[in-house]
Amino acid sequence: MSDRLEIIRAAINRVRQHKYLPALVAVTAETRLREDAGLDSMDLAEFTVVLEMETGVDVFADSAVRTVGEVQMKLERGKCT
Amino acid sequence: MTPGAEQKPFVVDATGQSLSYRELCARLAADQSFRPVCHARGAAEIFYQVALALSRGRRLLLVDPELKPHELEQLGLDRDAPVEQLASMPIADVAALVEHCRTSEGFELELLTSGSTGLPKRVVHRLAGLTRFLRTSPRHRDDVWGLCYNPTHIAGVQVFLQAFLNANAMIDLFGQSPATIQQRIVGHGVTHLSATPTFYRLLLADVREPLPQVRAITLGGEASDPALHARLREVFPNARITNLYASTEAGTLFASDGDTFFPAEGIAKLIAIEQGTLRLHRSLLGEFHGATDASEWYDTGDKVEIVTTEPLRFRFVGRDRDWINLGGEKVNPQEVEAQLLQFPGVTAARVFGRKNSVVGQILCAEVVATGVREETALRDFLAARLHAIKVPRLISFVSALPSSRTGKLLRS
Repeated sequence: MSDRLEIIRAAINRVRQHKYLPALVAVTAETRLREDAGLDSMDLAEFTVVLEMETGVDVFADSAVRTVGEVQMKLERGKCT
Repeated sequence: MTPGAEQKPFVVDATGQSLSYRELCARLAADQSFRPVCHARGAAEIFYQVALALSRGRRLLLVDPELKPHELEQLGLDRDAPVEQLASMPIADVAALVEHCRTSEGFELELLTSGSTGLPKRVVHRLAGLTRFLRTSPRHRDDVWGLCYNPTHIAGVQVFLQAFLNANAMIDLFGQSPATIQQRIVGHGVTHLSATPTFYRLLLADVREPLPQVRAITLGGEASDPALHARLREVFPNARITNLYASTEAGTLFASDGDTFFPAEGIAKLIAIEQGTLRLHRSLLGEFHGATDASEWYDTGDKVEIVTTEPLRFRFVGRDRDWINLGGEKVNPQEVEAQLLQFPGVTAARVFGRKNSVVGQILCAEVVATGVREETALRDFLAARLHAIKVPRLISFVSALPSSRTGKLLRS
């Protein structure tokens, strides 16, 4: 479980780095992708692609994800594109 | 014009502030200086300048404030244009202002767009070319428009004209989060929306309940799909849904209520479909500065399939060009590749779009480079020279690039 959290955190921070934002030190299931992680729509697209490249799962495939927790659930379910 | 028209807000910005139409009239009447090149930020100020140009019959060039100095230089826009003096102009009331602007002669609007060679180009439009589908009537008196496009682009300007020439309130929604957009649609009583399919997909992904007060929705800028239309009908149960086709070069040309398009009144004879490609007669186009192509018919690069010939109805089935459509903004990959090749150590580059579920496409690049393995410096280099949307989101370093049998760079 915490490995997935790390993967998600790393993907968020990769996008944040591209926007010259400091890395988030920690994320929890409640962390909201837009309001807390500071991602806008284009950032979410990049985040989704990065996660898909690493895990094979498209977390935005059938529905939006708003929090880290929702991303985790999608990764666990392992929906492939 | 009913009582209350004067109090109606002109453009409500992200903070909720706005001039009333009465205040707009006063400001326009008294304004004694006109900047022919508009670098302003935000729909409220940009559209004030367009209203000023309309009221005084002047030519105005709209510049996207996100363009970088390098790009402005290429367009010859790095030097300030001299400010023009205006005489004050009496405006009796909102009705008089709108009537005057509706027939504004001398008004010209200049827009910027990527050229086919990668160099940006300037296109000049007169009012007639910008108002083909525009309807002014008492029926539109109480429309409230959501502004969802970049105000310096053709689609944004067309929405502005439809709203302004009916003295409608406009609510700026461009660049805001889906949650905020929803709140503002409800809070300001928006009845009309015009936006890209990407905008709607993002909004729908976040929407909690239907929005029944919206009466009309138009889509443009990108290919749409039936699944999106079905979801739009669920969330906007009282809205008529129309697709529009517009380009910076020609303004709005076609409308459809499904996926079959028909031309605006009077222009059917100015459309040609040859070998499945859509061509436009040059009289439909705005003027291009320094146009070297003197041919009578302009190749749009859009592939179409004819459904009926009398009356003309057709479907769009794809694009000829390499350009990448990022949620309505078109990026020429060659322009980005040219910049990548300027970075020391880069010997080859391929820029392409990658489909994803969030925004349609994101911009990616594969780069062959010696001695460069760090993305950050490369990305900083591009960010300093190009509009943010042209900076690839994902850059990977590869040892070689794929090419076709004829040696041309493969992009898809």
